Parts: sequence; structure tokens; C-alpha cells
Amino acid sequence: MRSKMRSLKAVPAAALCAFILSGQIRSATTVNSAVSVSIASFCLIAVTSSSVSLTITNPSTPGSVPANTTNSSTYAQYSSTVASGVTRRITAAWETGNSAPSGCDLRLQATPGSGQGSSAGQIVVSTTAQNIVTGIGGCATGTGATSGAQLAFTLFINAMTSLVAGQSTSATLTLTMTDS
Amino acid sequence: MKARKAILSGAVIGLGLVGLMFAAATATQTVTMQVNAICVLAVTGNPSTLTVTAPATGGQAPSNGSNTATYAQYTSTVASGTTRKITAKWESGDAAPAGCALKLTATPSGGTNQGTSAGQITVTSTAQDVVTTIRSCVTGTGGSNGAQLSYSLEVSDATALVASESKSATVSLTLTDAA
Repeated sequence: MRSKMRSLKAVPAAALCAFILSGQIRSATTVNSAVSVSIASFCLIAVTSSSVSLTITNPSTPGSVPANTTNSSTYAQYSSTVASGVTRRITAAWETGNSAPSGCDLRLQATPGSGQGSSAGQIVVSTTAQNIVTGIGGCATGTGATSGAQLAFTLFINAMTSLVAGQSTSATLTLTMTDS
Repeated sequence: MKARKAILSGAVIGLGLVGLMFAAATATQTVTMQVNAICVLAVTGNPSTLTVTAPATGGQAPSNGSNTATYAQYTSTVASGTTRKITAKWESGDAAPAGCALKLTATPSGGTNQGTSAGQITVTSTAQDVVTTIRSCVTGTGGSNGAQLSYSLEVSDATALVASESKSATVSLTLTDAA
């Protein structure tokens, strides 16, 4: 009996609630709900290969300067979210104490994909950070083998008489993505 | 409600901190740069025919033929402390005409590391130095770039001359490490 009574009570109560709710749906115009959303500020960069090799070899014609050797096989890939009005850039610099072989300098030009910032043109790599990509907003370059900003390295001969045959130099280049 | 607000605030702050942690990022690449040993040599062409001609006055020795129109051009990279040289000799079986000797002087342009002349030699079948102390350099490839090759066909024994003898002989120039 008690359970029947409870269920009998429950029915009108439920009906009342349904009536009230439907009444609210019909009568209330706006319900505010405070939803907090936060976009984290991402700034991540990687390269498709940790090593690049460049070798100066025989010129095609005796008496001529050997061709500057190039390597465009690697890419800088990055993900970035920025606050409104803010952009980022990528800089390049030798690690402290690193340099190109004597008689040479290393030149670098980064060519980003569409919407991934703008190339700052070719730089001569030094121990001072220099821009290679600027104007990076919110973007993700992708992680495919040829996604991102293509890194075109050129080992440029600037003083033929200073070249040292057999000299092999492994130098570390740091790419940094940072707020502009 | 306070607890919920605190949790939300904590989450927002946490996300903000994560963002700050990634606010600057770096990647490194190791760039290996190598300079190979380079040792290449060419000549701008062959000298024109060297002809022994009649002297101005009877009784004098015939006049020597000479040619200074060709150049040896080279590109070289050397290891620290080492040098190269250019040697000259007849190809196997070649020689000057009877009664004559072929003399050769190579005169580098004076450009840095392009070496110094070893003076005049008489070409023989044994290699002799014509330019020494060549280091890392490039002579250029213009018509008068490099070490000028001065050939002179000199009469060494007038009694052995054979009129109208004409021969083409090959001089071999070699750029090589100094001993």
C-alpha cells in the first residue's frame, strides 16, 4: 500500500515537474551558462632531420671556383597559437663556439608554406640570432616529409685561399621560434 | 560553488602555465661541412708552331721560335702546411727536333697562393718543377688567367739541325703535392 501510495504521489510530482519545466521552456527567454574556454599558447618547433651535410668538391673547370654546395632536404615544422595581434618568428644562430670552415660561410633561407609566415630571405649564419621566418600567426605546418618551412642551406666559398683541404666541421645550428 | 570556481580557475591557470611553458621553442640541427682536396689543372690551348728561322746575318745562329700565348689554369685546396707544384716533361717517346731544345718558363700571375715560378727548364722526359708553393687558390678561367707558359725552341747544336723537320710533341703538365 505504501509503495502504491508513493508511486501515486510520484506521478503527480513528476507531472508537476514536467509542467514546470515545460513552462520554463516556454516562458523563459534566455538562460546564461558560464563556460570557460582557454586556448593554450602553443609554440613548438622541430626539424625533419637533425643532420645536414654539405661538401665542397672539384670545380667543373680547372681555374674556376668550386660550386657552392647546397642542401634543401630538411624542413622546420611548427605549431603555433598566438594571442590576437601577436606574431611569432623563427631565428637561426650557431651554438656558441660553432662556425663554418675557414674560407666558407653557411647561408640559410627558410621558405614557409602558405599561411605559415613569411621568409626573411637568405642570411649568413652567425652566433647572433637572425630572423629566417617572420609573421607567424596561429598555424600548424603538418608533419609530412615536405611540410613546413623548407630550409635551404648553402656552403658559400668566400675566400678560396683560406680553404683547408680535408677540413670537416660539424657545427650545431639552433632554430628558435619566439614571440616577435 | 566556490569549490567549482576554484577548480575552474585552477584549470585555467594550469592551461595558461602550459602555454607559458611552450612560449619559446627551439630545435637544433648538426650541419656537417667539408672541404674536399681539390687538385685540377688545364691549359688554355696548344701553342702555335715554334719555328727555327734563318738568322738576319749569315754566320749567325738561327733565330729561336717562341710562344707565350697559353696559360696553365688550376684550382687547388691543400691541407694546412702543405703545398703543391706543377711539373713538366715530355710524354713518353717525345722529344724536340734534332739539334734543338724546348725551354719552358711558367709565370704565375702573382695571385695569392698561386705559387712561384721555378725558372726556365729544358723539357726532358723527367718531370721538372715549373711552379712551386701552390696552396689553396683559384687562377680564374679567362684567356690570360693562370701561369703564363713561355715556350722557346732553341738551337742547341746547329750542326744537327735537319731542314724542314717538323714534329709535334706533347708536353705533360702535372699539378701534384710537393714532396
